[in-house]
Amino acid sequence: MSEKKTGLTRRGFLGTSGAAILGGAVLSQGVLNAAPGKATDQDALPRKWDETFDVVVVGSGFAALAAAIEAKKAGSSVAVLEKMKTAGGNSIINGGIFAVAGSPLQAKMGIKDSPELMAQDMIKAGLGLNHPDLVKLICEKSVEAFDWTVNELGMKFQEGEMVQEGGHTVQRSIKLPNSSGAGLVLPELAKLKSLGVEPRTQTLVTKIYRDKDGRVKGVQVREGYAFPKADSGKVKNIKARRAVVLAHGGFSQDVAYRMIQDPKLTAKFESTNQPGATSEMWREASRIGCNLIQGDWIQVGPWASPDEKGFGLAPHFAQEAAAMYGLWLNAKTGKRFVDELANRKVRADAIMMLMNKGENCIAFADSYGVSRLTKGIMDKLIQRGVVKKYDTLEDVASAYSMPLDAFKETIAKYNKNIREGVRDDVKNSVTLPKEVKPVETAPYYVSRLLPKVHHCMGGIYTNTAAQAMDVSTDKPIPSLYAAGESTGGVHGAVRLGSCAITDCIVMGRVAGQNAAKEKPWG
Amino acid sequence: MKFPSIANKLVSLACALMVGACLLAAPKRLATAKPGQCKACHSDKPVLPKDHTDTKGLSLADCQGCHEKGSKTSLVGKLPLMHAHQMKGVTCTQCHGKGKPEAVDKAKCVSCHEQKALTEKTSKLKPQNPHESPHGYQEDCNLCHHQHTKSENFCATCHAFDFSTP
Ligand SMILES: Cc1cc2nc3c(=O)[nH]c(=O)nc-3n(C[C@H](O)[C@H](O)[C@H](O)COP(=O)(O)OP(=O)(O)OC[C@H]3O[C@@H](n4cnc5c(N)ncnc54)[C@H](O)[C@@H]3O)c2cc1C
Repeated sequence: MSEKKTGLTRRGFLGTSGAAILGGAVLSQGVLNAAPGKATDQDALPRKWDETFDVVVVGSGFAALAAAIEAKKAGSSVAVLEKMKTAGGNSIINGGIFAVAGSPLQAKMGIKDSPELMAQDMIKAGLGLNHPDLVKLICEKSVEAFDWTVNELGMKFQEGEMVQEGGHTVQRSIKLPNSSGAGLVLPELAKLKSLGVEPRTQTLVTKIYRDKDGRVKGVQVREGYAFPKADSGKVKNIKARRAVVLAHGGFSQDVAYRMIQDPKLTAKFESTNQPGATSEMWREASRIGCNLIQGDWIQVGPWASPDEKGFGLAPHFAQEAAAMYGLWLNAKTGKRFVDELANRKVRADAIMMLMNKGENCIAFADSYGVSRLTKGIMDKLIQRGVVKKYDTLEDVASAYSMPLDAFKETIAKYNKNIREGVRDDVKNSVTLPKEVKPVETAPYYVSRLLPKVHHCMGGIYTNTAAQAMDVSTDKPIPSLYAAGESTGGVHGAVRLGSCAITDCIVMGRVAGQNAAKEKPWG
Repeated sequence: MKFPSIANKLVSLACALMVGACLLAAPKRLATAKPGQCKACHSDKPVLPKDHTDTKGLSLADCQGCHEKGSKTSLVGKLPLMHAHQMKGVTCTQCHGKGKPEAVDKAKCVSCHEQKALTEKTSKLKPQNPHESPHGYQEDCNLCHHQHTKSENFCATCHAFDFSTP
């Protein structure tokens, strides 16, 4: 036990935050000793490969599936390996908003946008930790990613609706069908199936084989793995003739690893993620010489609720009704406490600080606000008791022990500002949605706010070709690609909502296309 | 959460031994067992209370005579589903074929349990019809409905939905 513990700490330190902090020192020494593929812990290749594919993809979320589709279309044989019982990872439970800069949907609504503006928003929220070349690529290719979902996957989108997540200066987030990431994962899976590939579920990847020549040549798996039993399933070795693509997602559910990165994020914080969002591939990528950067930037989602498990449906109400068309309030004071359209970190930090003082926060919207939500969501939220409905402001105040006068004054002031178009004290960090109106139409709706651990901004350092970079040489690790939440440097300190899908689709496709171009070995 | 490492080798050995032991004690899956003939497979360890009616020759409908659906003693979610199948006269070979048992895919399930009808049947379940998962999970029956182990409420992986799964 203690042996294991020390092992983890050492790797966590050297592999991630350690490397980031000591960057200069570690790097220059690494470069001096550089030999291609001088990774710390190489493995002897297995004597026998049980199976062979051109491209082996780890994971089955947005990024993995996009990579697999592209690699297969380019003529490679492809294996998609997923440890859980179901394909889709966090992607299939995601909230279904997709940032596209300059989409036809924006044009129809008269919203002006550009890749440059989106990049500016991402880098501002990301505190400049974002690697600009990656951000630029993703923003520039966002329309292409959208077109791909329409032309390649046959997706259809509802016109006239758009979401504005905190930190975006304009409405640019497209709603996926069903308000769920499943609306995009299921078409990806269907496309892949039509190409003759289906994810192999319950297949845990335990090892990446990186040979002495520095090239990644295959993986070790446990087939028939039953999460979370580490030793379940049968060990097999799969050869990757051309390349391995890592798209194993984040580690928000892995309390031990997440506390190595950010000790504040103890077990008392729930997560919005699927239970399999754990760190084993992060550790393995470090071990074979990937450079894992910015691992301690872990996003806590401000809009979640204590009245349901995980992500649930509350974020739709708290963001798409209350933050966009209503107010977030400190129940103790009856006052607003944050710019409702500020980025997630600003908002989650504000709520957590108040909660630590024993003060609780609520998201509040009127009937007009909730009329902006996708049909059906409110019924479910009310039925599940996650959002509560009140006929009068008095009822709201008494339900949350909120001082009525202060509460009424807050609303009166907000409404006056909206009417007069005064931007002071209104959500002033961004352009307000055009359809904003004073909050005055009963009945009223409330959800309680509880931040939950949501997203890992850091991860494998990659270049714009989606190649994973070697920690010792700063050169691409031959035949290793990575995309999606397993990578770092795109979102910097704070990921803007809806930008993960864009990142996953753009970089997943790039990874798949390039993986298929690698020369086969052996 | 623990993942494979050298330090885990001992643990894995212990697990392997335990799994081995469990397998030895597992009930036989006798293709020739007659409905209601519990002892044919569960010969090592009696599975019914001492004073339970003799089940020999009983059908599932007979069981439900006492174990009424919706009552406290309902069998829903308590028995691995193959028991219900078996007692309704759906025997091993009807799903797994004769000879070496084949894996069963969804087509087999929906050849009897028409999917539309199933979806309709659960349409009143709150807070969500499990057969209309937005994540598409209804396409894999076995995520919830297990035959040889207890069924599970797969939605509960992420949601606090309180379903008892047959
Ligand atoms: C509830 C929720 C709502 C969200 N809403 C939005 C939104 O509306 N818009 C947006 O842009 N972003 C959103 N995000 C973020 C976004 O969904 C994720 O960042 C994105 O889905 C990550 O995709 P991915 O392909 O990188 O990884 P994932 O979809 O997480 O897939 C990774 C897969 O790899 C598997 N895996 C991990 N390790 C191994 C291993 N060792 N062997 C085999 N398989 C392995 C995992 O089980 C998982 O299935 C949301 C996230 C969550 C959790």
